[in-house]
Amino acid sequence: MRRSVSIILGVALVATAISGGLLLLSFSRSTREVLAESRHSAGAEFHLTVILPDDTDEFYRSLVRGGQDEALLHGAALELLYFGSIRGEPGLLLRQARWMHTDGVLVYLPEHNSFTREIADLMRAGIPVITLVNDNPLSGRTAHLGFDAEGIARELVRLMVDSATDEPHTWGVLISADGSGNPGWQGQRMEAVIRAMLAPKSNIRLLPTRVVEAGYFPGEQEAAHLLRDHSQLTGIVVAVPQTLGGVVQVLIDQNRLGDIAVVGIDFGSGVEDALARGLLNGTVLRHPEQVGATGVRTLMEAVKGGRVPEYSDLDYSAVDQRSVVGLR
Amino acid sequence: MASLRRRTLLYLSALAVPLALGVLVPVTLIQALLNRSLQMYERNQQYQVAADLVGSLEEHLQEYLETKSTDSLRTFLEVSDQLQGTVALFSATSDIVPSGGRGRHLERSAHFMIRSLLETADRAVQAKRGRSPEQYTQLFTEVRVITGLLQSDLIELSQQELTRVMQSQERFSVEFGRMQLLSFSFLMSLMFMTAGLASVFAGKIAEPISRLSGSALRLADGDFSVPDIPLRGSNEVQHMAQAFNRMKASIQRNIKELQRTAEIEKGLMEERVSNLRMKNVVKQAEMTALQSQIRPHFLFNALNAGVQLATIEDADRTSEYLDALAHLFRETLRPLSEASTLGREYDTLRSFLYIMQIRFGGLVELQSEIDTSTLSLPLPRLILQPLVENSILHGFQDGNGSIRLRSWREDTRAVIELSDNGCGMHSDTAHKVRLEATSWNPEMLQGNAEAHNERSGIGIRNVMYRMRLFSGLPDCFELDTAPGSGVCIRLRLPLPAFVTAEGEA
Repeated sequence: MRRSVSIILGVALVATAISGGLLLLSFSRSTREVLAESRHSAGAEFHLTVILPDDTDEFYRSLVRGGQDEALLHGAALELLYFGSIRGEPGLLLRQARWMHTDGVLVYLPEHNSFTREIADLMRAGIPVITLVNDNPLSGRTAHLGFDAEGIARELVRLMVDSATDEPHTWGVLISADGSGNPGWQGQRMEAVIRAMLAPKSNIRLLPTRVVEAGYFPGEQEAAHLLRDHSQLTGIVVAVPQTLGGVVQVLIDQNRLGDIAVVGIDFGSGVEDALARGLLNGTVLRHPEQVGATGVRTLMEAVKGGRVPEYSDLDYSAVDQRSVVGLR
Repeated sequence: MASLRRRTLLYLSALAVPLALGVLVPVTLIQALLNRSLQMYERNQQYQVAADLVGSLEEHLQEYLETKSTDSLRTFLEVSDQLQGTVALFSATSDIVPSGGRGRHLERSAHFMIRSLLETADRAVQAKRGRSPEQYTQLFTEVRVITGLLQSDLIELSQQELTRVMQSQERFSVEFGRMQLLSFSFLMSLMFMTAGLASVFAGKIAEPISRLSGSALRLADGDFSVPDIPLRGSNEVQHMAQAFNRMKASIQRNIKELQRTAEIEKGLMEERVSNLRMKNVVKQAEMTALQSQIRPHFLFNALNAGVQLATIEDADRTSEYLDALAHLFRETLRPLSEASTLGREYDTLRSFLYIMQIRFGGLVELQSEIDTSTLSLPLPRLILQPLVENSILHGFQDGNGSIRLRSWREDTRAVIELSDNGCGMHSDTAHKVRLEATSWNPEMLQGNAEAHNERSGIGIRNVMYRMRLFSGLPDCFELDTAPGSGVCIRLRLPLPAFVTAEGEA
């Protein structure tokens, strides 16, 4: 009898200990669930507003990543606002940033923009504004970070010449529109550089320039038209950001890879594989993460009252099939 | 070992704590979650209230700007105050990591947007008062834009909170379901453990008590062979066991003590009884002797006169005879309780024999072989004479015979042997005497006619018993006889120290 009581007691003790331990574990897990809701992490010291066109393009997403990493180092919170394709929306977002009493604004404006007043209001409210890529010099913004369009164009020409043989080549030229279907001024500058540099090259013939909105689908559409209209096409230069991917897709769909050389600006993630596989012949990378980091760093400097240069060039680099090994 | 009370409390606490935990933990958690959920729902409600106030502010501002009525202004100001009160609901500092989707810090945004709205609305009211229609129109437009953005943010914030609550509750309900199962199994196993512990604990308390109870019952029945109760268990039980063991030992000691006392008292009583008997025997003998001495006392005096007369008349033999008779009577006049010696008894015996010879004629020859070291041996008075008298009266047919008296030492004893060459004792008589000699039956002293000797008044039984009382030896009187072979009586006595010393010297 005693033995059976001892056995029962022993088993019950073990079972109680195990179930009690598991219960405590479950309790602590549940408590964490509950407390996690009530726990607040440390607040950010600064609040910066970043205004971008959209959050779908890989360029802008990389830019945001770079900016957030940099903001973390400075103890700043980034508020992201996207204006999409609505024309007047950047202005609204600039005003919203002012109403939100943000500490600083980093804005990627459309190429043709008229948000001078909104930017000036921010500056008057003591909120520094830094423009990225596209400038508004009359707005009184604190600084501008941009790419050297002519420099990029020169790199594009180099990539074109490197990918071409001595045989005659016919290249299509795509430049960016300003949002209303007209050539943007950066696109015009790039076109001028391309044509000027290739003029002496007799074996390279440039087709009339086509104006295309930046974006995957506009690029895809325009490339299809180009192929349809020019059967002797041997290359396409895409001097429009965020568009190269669409053009490449058309070539893939129409099985024209290898027949038609493609050079452009950016590509998104996977550019090394694309070059290695011969999907494109070269691209000028604008390093969006560095853009975001540089933008946030410069803005923080301005927020803290430091002096920042009014103009700063953003880095870019050209990569082709030969240099992709180094890139890896 | 902890006291019973403390151990009981300890056991109960050991059981109560996990029970309480098993019940309190889930209850506490449910309560915390409920509180948290209520908080979230309250917050949500407050967001809704804020959104309503925002819309209401725009409405009343528009009304005021259009009508410029005092009521509308008052209403606007009331709403403005209420909206101002909601500002504290939204934190002005944002986390580094945005809580909202798409990188929005909605709470901070709402906080400052409300403040901006209130500022802009106030400026619009001021502009209205300042009669600047362009300004207040523009400001009102701004108010509308801010209202739109703010309400959008508040809705998103509210949705975000709801989503978070739902996700949190979903996660929690999964965990809680697991907790319920674990709680149930915990409580079940705890129940079994409690039952087992209670059984063990009850046994630990009851077992020594029941053992104690059993031992106490056996002790009450007089069984002192129960073993000591082992000192185990709590303090109280140990004390009880200790007390019981001591009580048992004490009772045993007391009983032994009583037994010893009873034995001592019994011994004392027996000694007293034997002393009384001795005194009784002595008194009887004294009484007998006294009675027999009363008549000879006159004769003794008369005999003394006769000794003198015989001496005067030169009757030597008569004088000797009377002298011997006087000596004999002198000895018998002394109390029997007074001890004599072998030497004196021997003299008395010789006087007796002389008288017997004169009276009855005949010749009784006395031969003696006495160890001189035993002459001073203490003897009861009138021990030898009655024995010789018996031999003469019952052993010698014509008064002729031979008596031999011997004495010697045997280790720590002296032996006196008195033998005759008479006809000996009848076997039945000898048997009776031997039986009396070996069995110490004091009742035989009580007036037995066979013990009584006509002449000395002291019989062989009297001699036997006085020898037993004097010597204390069970074998102090030995009879050796057979019909026609005479009688031989041996008396044994312990040698006193001075006799031993004289002998060794």
